[in-house]
Order: sequence, then C-alpha cells, then structure tokens
Amino acid sequence: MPPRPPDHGPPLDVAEARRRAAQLQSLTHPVRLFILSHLARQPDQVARASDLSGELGIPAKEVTGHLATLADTNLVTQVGGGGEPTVTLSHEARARFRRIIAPRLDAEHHQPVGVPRLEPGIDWSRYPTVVRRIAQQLTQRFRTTFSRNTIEKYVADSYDELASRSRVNQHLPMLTNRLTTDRLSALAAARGLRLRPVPDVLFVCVHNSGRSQIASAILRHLAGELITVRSAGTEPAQAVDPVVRQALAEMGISGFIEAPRQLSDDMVRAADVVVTLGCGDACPVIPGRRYFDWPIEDPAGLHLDQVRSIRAEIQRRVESLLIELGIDPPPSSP
Amino acid sequence: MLARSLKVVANATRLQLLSLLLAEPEERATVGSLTEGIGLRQPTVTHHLNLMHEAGLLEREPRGRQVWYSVNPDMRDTIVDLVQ
Repeated sequence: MPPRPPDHGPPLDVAEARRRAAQLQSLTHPVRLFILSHLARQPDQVARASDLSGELGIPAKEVTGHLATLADTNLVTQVGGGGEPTVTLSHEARARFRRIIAPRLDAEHHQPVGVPRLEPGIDWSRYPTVVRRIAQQLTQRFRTTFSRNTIEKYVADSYDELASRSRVNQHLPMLTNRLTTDRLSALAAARGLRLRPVPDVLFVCVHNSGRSQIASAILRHLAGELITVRSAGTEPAQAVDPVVRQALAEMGISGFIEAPRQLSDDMVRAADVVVTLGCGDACPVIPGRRYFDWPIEDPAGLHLDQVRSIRAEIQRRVESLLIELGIDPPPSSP
Repeated sequence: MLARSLKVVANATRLQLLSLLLAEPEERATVGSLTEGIGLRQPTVTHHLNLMHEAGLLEREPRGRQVWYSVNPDMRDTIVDLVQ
C-alpha cells in the first residue's frame, strides 16, 4: 500500500486501483457513510459501536458488521483492546476521503465541497411522500437560517444520493433527515452562521378545546416565528369552549385558536418539547423528548372570571417555558 | 461528490484512467494516449470515458479530429485525493 506523492506521481497500478475501488464501494453504503461522517465530526474522531448504534437507531449487531467491513477496507481502525469495538477514522480515510465524508468549506464557492449548487424548484413527483414530509419538517425547523428552496434542494439531493447507493430502503428517511441536517449545519458554518433549529412545542390536553388552546395561543403570541407551536387532544371536542374563546379575545389573541385536533404519534415525534395539561398517561412517550406536565384545572363549564385566572396561570407557565427554551419574546409583547 | 459519480468512480479501471489523466501535462488527454497508458483496447477505454463523462466526472473538448478529456474542475480536488 504505497502512498504516492501528491500529483504527477506514477499512475495507480492495477492492484492498488482495485484496493481503492473496493474502499469506494465499501463507502457507498449509506450506513457506512454515516458511520464515517459521524466519526469525522467527533472531536477525537473515535466512537464506540454502542454510540453509533444509538446515533443511527440501528441494532449494535448491524453496526458491528458495518465496522468490520470498514476495517477490512482500511477505512476505520480499531482502537483500544478488548471489550466493545471502538473505532477511529483510518489515516487513509482522513487523507483520501475527507472531502466525501466530511464536506468542508470550499473557499471559491463558499459552500462545503460535495454539496450541490442551489437551483430552485424540486419535482416532488419523483420522490416518495415521506421525503417531501422531511423537507417540510426541516423547512419548519431551520426557517430562521435558510430559505425553503435551499432546504428542499438539500433534502432532495441527500435522498438521491442515499437512495442510489442503498439496496435497503429501511433507514432511508432517517438517514436523509440526518444527512440533510449535517449538510445544512456545514453550510451554515461555512457562511459564519449557527444552525439554530426552531423549537417545536406541542401542548396536549384531553379535548383540545380549553387548556391546550390557551397555552398554544399565548405561546404563538409571545414567540411568533421563533417557535413552532401545535396543540392536540387525546379525545378532541367538536369545538373550542366559548368561554375560553372569550377569555382569549380579551387578550386580542383569539385569532390563534385552531379547531380541536386528534393527537397523533407523528406530532409527538416532531416535537422537541411536549407539555401535557391534564391528559396524563394518554400521551404517547418517545424517548429523548422533553416533557412537562402542568397541573391545570379544566376550564370546561367555568365562569369567565375563573377562566381568566386559569389563563393567567397558563401565561405564567408559558413565560417560564420561553425562558427555559432560551428565547426572548419580542419587546412589544405584554 | 454525488452518488452517481461516486458509484462510477468506484471501479479500478476508471480510477486508473483518472490517475493517468491527472498525470498528463495540463491534466488533459486523448483516448489514444490513455489507451496506450493503460494497456487496454481502445473501445474499452472509450466506454469507461463515456461513462465518466455522463456521470459528470469528465469534460470533453473536441479539437480538430481529436477529443480531449479533462477532469471536471468542480470535482478535481476530490478525485486527486482518491488517486494519489
């Protein structure tokens, strides 16, 4: 394995060309590409099989198999002895594939190398619905940093890239989401920006006609575009409680009321923060989310002045939540 | 580098051709000189060059009766890393 001097050395011989082609083939599997990208992003470029398994949401056994393939083609090297497999990027992977696995700033175009140039307009009919949904989610999430065109283009390209390399479609949506997010953060860094996701907050109560409506209206009012706010109920009512509507109208925010909606797993999955207001166990739990439970009295059937005090209690909690999320409400807010 | 290009480049003969091409003066070459350098038949070399051209790895420039191939400048650095 003689490393050749930069530029204009003797051309590759057949054996060396075969070895490198095998490395490239090893690298074209999306899971393996992800393992390499993940390693490249770690400060010490080291990861344990169980970290990778958690990061990718793939069984440790499968990860170990990919690590073996990567080690066989000298893209990763085992570090330490015994116990759980722990790997680092090989010297060769760093030298030869860095531009592919860890796109960096390309000075000329101010874009990470390996990332497509931007052109507007994606023909979504070519893509599965789930890809379009990923684009919508990421657009919501990164709208304060990038335009919709940029985000859609990156989603489509990431999907194309992964799909054409992969024989198994099982992990494609998750991998597309991650690859796009990685590339957008690289692009943001290249432009001197920080990719700051817009937090997604979900309020859940039983009927989505009182408490969760008050909370979401107040949060939308205070945070505006800085937060994505949703609300839902485990047994949604036909309509929003009229007294609640009146209490919100007094604050001038009844325009934020939405028709009661059924809580879905998707909504919970999309949320960074889930706040339950008295629905308790009925709310599905997804690991890794932040949960708050606010014990708030149900305003159903109460008088306006009682609903006002419920509104005040919810407002106080929403304001603390904003501080918790590190978001400064616009100064014009009450 | 996009997936299609990556797949096309993951082939020993094509890596050899790219390495020959980058070793030429001005990093350009004709089918004839590449055929000579790699020791394969000309139709085989033409086939590989066409594939790489379609995948956007190579640019081609007809000059008189010859066609000169060169590496797409957008991908040059990535490809140099691969064949060095």
